[in-house]
Amino acid sequence: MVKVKRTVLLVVMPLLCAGCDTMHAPIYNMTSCPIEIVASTSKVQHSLGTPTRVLPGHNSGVLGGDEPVRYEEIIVRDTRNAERRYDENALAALRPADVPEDRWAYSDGGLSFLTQEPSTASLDQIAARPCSANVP
Amino acid sequence: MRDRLAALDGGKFANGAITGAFAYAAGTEAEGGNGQQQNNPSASDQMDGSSALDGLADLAGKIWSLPNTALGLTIGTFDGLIGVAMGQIPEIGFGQGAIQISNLPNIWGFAGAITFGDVQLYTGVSPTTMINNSNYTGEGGFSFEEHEGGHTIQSDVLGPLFFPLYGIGALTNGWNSNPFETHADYHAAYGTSALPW
Repeated sequence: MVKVKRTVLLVVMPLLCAGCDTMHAPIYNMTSCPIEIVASTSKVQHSLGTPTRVLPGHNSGVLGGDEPVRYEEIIVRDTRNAERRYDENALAALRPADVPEDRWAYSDGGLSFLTQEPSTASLDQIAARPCSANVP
Repeated sequence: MRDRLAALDGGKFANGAITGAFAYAAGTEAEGGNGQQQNNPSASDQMDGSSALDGLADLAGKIWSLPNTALGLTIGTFDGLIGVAMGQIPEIGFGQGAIQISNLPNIWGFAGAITFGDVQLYTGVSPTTMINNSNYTGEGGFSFEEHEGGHTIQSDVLGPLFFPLYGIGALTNGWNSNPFETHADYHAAYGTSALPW
């Protein structure tokens, strides 16, 4: 009986998830002020590279699809540095080898690759810090 | 008129919780469709009347979508209980016309969100997680909850027909070009209709 239930679950859950909106390649804002991200990837057809505002301790990423995503260019504007631009070569230099999907953190020092998800507690802590710069 | 239509159609700028076609059907009749109600002395009375109709239409949409909502609550509860057992406490909120259950454990195998009627389930992302690129349209600059809010509107309008029609949309247009997804994107990005027609 337990085996049957487990089989039913294994079959039903993926079917239900046919409508899942997946999240790929998060970029975390680890600064204490909002940032604006423009990111592009060839995985997304007709990518418009829309500027996206990300609050401290929050993240943005790619919606949909089932393939891992790597960015080809990331531009970050923050309140202290006018603009930081990372092209394909710069991202490749920061990205560990053999990592299928991107996961980035943007801090005051710039972009760095995250090998694992940051903890909720650390993100909450960042979100609670006051922003001392002039918010754009 | 444009703002009014956006509101009736669930536009995020006016009231993201308002249901689509039911309110549209009721509201356009009340408004008269001439776009001149601002110069009419009785316009506010008409607006009050149509707001009541909007509320009724919204309620009708929620009732029509109850089977989907019940499914969402069941899965959300099941997933949430797994989370509690694992020490990961789910968070419950309200937004975009739906109950939002987030911080759920990842039983799907990947981070993301799914909408069942008036229930939105989030795992590995929060309702306010931003999207910088969407595989469906290439758009960005909106949050997960704004996209899922589009699905809630679609579900409130289509009720039990939502999932079969969503499946047909995916089969006939391809996964990433499913009009239910692309219109949820446009709704989130521009506040336009979430309905794929």
